[in-house]
Amino acid sequence: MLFNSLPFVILIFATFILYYIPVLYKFQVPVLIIASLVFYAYNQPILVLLLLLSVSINIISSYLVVYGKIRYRKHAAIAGVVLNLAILIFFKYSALIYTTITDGSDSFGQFIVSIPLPIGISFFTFQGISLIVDVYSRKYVLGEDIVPVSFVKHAERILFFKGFFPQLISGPIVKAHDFLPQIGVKKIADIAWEPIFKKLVVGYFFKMVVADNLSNFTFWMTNPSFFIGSSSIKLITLLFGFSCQIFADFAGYSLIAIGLARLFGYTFPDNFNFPYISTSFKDFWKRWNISLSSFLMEYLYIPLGGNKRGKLRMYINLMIVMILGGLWHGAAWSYAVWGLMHGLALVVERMLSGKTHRPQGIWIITLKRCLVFSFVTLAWLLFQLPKFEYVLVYLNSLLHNTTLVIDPDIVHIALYSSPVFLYHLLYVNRTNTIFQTIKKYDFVVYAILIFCIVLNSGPVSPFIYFQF
Amino acid sequence: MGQLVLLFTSNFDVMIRKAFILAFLGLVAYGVFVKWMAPKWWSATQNTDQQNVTKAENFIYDDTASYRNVIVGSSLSARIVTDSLQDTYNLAMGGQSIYDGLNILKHREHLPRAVLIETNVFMRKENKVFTNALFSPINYYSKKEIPALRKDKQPIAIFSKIILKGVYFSKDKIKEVLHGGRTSKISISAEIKADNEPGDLSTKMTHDTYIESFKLPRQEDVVDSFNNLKSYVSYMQKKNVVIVFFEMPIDTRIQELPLQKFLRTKFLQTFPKSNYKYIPLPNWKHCNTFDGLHLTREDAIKYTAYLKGEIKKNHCLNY
Repeated sequence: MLFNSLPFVILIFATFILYYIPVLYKFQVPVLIIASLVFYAYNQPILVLLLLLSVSINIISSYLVVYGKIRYRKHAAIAGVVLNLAILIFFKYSALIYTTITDGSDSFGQFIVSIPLPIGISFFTFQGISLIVDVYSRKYVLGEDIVPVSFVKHAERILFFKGFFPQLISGPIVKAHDFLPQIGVKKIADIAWEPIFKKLVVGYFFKMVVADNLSNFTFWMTNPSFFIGSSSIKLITLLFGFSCQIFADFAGYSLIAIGLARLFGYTFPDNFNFPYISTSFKDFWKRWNISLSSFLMEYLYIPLGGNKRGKLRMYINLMIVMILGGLWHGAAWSYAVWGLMHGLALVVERMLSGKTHRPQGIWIITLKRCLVFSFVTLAWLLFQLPKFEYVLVYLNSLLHNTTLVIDPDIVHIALYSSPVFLYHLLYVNRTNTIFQTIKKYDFVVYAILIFCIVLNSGPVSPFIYFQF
Repeated sequence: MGQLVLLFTSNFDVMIRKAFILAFLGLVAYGVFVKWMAPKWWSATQNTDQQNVTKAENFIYDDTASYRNVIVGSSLSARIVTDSLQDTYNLAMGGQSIYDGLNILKHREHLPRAVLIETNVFMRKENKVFTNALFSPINYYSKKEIPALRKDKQPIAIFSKIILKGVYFSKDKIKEVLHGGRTSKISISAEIKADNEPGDLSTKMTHDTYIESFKLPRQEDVVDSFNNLKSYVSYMQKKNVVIVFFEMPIDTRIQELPLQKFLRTKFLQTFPKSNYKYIPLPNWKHCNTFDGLHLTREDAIKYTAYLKGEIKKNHCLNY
């Protein structure tokens, strides 16, 4: 079910009313669980069984970690993490692994390739891992504090934690120690409407007006026949257009998810913090898909030793984290290469950091921003074109088709991309008087956004991150 | 429930109310402008999706127009230039199938005298999402009464059209200054055409189409498709609509490959020439396409002229 579909609006409305009826307060969590299962089952009901299997593994293993015999707690934790990963590998990576080892044309290969990718599997698997690691490590919270003695109560809480619909299929990846302590009775009087309204309006605007309209143009990037014949300027515009689209799509989704969660009294961490103003790659990964970055940092980079075991080990750890992070996005080697590119950028940046200590003027900062943004944009090509040969042909066409042609698509893409640039630009100049004036009349800005959502939405399309 | 009422009273922020009221006023103003005051050129499409929806919406909501002939098909026949075909509406849409056009026709009260059905891209399935969106009660009635909600009235698209006009105007002016008054006026379509002229790319795409044309569709899919078409054809015939099949010319090297031959034979078996009208393929020695399938604009115009002649030959389609 899409956030921008009529069935979803009906589901939200019905859930909201039931949720806040005072006599039903004690059923608030079950109401959200039912709504979440309806949400997940809407397109492919059979896949709910997989979600329930994944949830069951986490319920049992986390309970055993906290209340099982002490000598078996480690085993329960390892089994839980391994089973979570096994499900993810089977459904997401088995085809990639098998077709890499063999040519995949035999009947088993055909079977493996035909296994459907359950929507949101990467997200709910990571959340499950965070639960088990949190209760085992006791680093952020004591297991007993988030796992009640009653097994039934625990099962209900974990089903809610993993299945809560705003974050179920595309994040933000909410960690157990952040979410479980929030579970409790919520009252309508406690809702802070203005921030919710702002997040929802900006989120829907980014998704429906910016990303969905841009998708009509960037769709052609996947067709080699198209880009072989397109001019360099058009190919560059498309590339930057895709960069804006993927931001608007995912940041839009995250804002909607955060807004919806707040509507039911739950706070999710911010997932984007103006990533395209980053002045370094390290900065970028602190601003883009923050929940994934922090997950990888807490549950992979630090356990690998982080930067505590010397520079070489730190570089290796960075590469491992980024390549695995790339593969997390999709079961294709191009995603690993995408991760490798970012990993290399981070390593080179670390190597060079600290060599110059000169104060940086606005021009240097702007140049750095442009460099990081251009690199990130170029790397998105591997997202849009998962076949290497297509990427090479695209780049070749970009370098050689230098005829100057005025193409209407360039104007269209620039127009639909402009809100993304404006969004970042306003943030950069937030201390400026113009920004302060705009802030004073922010209702006008939100009215314009609503106007555009109603009149200028693109074709309804799934969120890009659904496929991950 | 009392707490829910709070939502629209004290608990609901003033800023939110102001934003909604202003947005509502803006929407009403734009709605009034588009319905009663907008100039004729206040319409724009930016891509295939918008073109398809606009094509369909213009057809659906234009109750006054009574077209004698309607063309249904894929992007191949979408290239037919209907400007010169009087009383003919081209409902062929890029990326869509003949069934989408036929489904739209089925929803219309007054049917045309004749429906021309393209036979080339026959196996493509009906896009139910597309037609359901057009005819879902909320969409249908709101767009019918409020033209501002239609795809071609999107303000950003129109703004973009105005910018483009400015860009081309400036370009012509600059050229005029640079060339001392001797301008070579290049229209938007000419620019696009220049960009899309077949070249090396065309060879690769034609090769791909060539390879694909050796693959035959699955028998059960063929049966399903013909059954679907038969039901549409019989519905139309019951309403006294003349059915005419036509095949768009494609690269002559591909025209006689197994897939094309197979479909041609199946059509003649299912809808024999004795009972149905067919517009024959033009007897061209060579055919210019981008990818083996889609005609260049020049050849599309040439084919339109041919089609016009063929329509004239058939009295029932004549105007």
